[in-house]
Amino acid sequence: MIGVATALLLLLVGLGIPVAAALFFLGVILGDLYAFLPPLPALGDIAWSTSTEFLLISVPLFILMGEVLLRAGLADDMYRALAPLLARIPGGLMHTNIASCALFAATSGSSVATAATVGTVAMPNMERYGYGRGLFLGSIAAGGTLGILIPPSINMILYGVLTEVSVGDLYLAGLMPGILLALLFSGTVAVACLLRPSLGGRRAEFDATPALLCALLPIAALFLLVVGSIYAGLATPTEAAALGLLGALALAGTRRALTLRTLLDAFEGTMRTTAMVMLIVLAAYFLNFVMVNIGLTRAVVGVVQDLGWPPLGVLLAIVSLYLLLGCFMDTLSLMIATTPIVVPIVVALGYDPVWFGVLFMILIEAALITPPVGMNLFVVQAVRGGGEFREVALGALPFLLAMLAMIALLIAVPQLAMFLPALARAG
Amino acid sequence: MLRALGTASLVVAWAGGALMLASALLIGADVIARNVFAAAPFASMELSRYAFAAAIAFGMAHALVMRSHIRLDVLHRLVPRTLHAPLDALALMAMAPLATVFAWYAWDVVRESARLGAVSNSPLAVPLVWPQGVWAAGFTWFATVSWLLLAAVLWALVRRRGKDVAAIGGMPGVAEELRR
Repeated sequence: MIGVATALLLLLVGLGIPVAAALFFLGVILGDLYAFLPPLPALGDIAWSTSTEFLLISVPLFILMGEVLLRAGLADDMYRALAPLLARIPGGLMHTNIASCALFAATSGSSVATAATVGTVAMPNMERYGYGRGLFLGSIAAGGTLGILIPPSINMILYGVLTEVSVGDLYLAGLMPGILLALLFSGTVAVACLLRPSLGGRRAEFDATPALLCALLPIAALFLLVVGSIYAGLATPTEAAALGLLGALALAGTRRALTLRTLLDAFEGTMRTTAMVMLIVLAAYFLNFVMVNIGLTRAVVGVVQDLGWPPLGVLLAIVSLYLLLGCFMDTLSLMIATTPIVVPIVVALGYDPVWFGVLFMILIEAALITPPVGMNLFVVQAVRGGGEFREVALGALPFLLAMLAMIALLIAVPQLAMFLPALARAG
Repeated sequence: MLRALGTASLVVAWAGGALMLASALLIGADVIARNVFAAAPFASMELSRYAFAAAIAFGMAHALVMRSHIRLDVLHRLVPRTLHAPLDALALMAMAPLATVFAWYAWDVVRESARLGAVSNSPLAVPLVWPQGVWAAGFTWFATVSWLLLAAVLWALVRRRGKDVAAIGGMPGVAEELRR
């Protein structure tokens, strides 16, 4: 049964039919082969309850918030405010790239949006100050991935929905690893520039920098509104997303960046992405229903347990598998399709699903910058608008090492993630 | 005709986005009211769910027109360019029945609610056939658009117009994705 399911999935996905359709037809075929009752009549109820899941409403709200922020020109101010601060560290503006990404990630739930926003602002400086291209581009591609680790995070919401883990806990758990990973990225840049000073470029001159406080205040305010309100227990993730969207609109309004045209464009982009994500989610729910129904989920967990491997061995195997799959698969489909099967295994091994959620995010971040298919590499390459793709892919590799280090740290010291959620429960 | 379809789906997507913005306003008002007055007078929890269900169901057609439903391009990279068109047609051949099945069972849910006279378990006591009917209509729109696009792509395929096939059902590159 497991073999048939795997082979079918590979075949369907490999044919290049939409991932949602592949998951759906896999569910139909498996149901046909192994289920007592045909599963399709349950489709309507599954689809309705998933379509009206309150938590999922935060997905379009966060995407819309990102679309509005992108057009509000916040990133520009932030970048220029941070640049003089970090200019003295070896690597100069590359630290600004990473810090801007980390800060923007604190208002954005998407890695692609973070890389695109910061990339647009940062790109002109690469040639102007003579930075080593690869590392500079890599710092944006990798820094951008922080978007899904540092809360808010759309991927964490989907993970939370699929595993019935509290999104608030996930947001607490992701904060410290997110900051730590940003510091590791910065360390990577500093080490690379100490080893090869030519990568570091000339000292950037920024005149008439806006006051740091003025530029960072809106970001801090939004972070407090969105993530703070969840941490304080004042709002659920969806409510926080609604507040964040209203805050972002107010911000864009005061900066005169809000026109009917931009709003309509934002609506269009939001619905396109949300509908795409939701069709995959609906299909995955249906497939999951079938898999539980025919006992496939239990069978897989059983097979893994029968291996008799130590939990750490299985975990490392899962990590390796994701690193490999991440080279080829789109991260969103990878996450939605595999969560329902992998998380039961991990939980059966005795690991905490919140902790694994954070680890999972870092694995997805790695997938975003591993060629040949790495969305953030594509985004940075597209923002750059020319040149060799190889430069971006190679430039991001040192940051992949930082991610691996972070994964090792997280496995060795689970408290890095679990400290804050535990504190919140105790307090 | 395809252009009209694109415009229609775009307008519907705008409406969906506006609906989500309206939901955000309602939810925001309720959060503030709850934390200040300990009451949530706008029933945002319930209304925004219906809005979300309608917006995504209607939005799926737009994602299809914009070729945004994610596909893996592993095979595309391996095979010669001439085989791209049949693969793109195959993708739509998978989508059209999927959309139809979703629409079919969505109406099933509506019929069942109508038979039971189901109302929502809340002070509003909304007869569920209404939000579910709009939602099922959204999937019906999705199915309609899928079959029309499939017909268009097959027509382009038999006339060996590879460019047209790619324009209707191909995979957009990342550069194209970002320009939107």
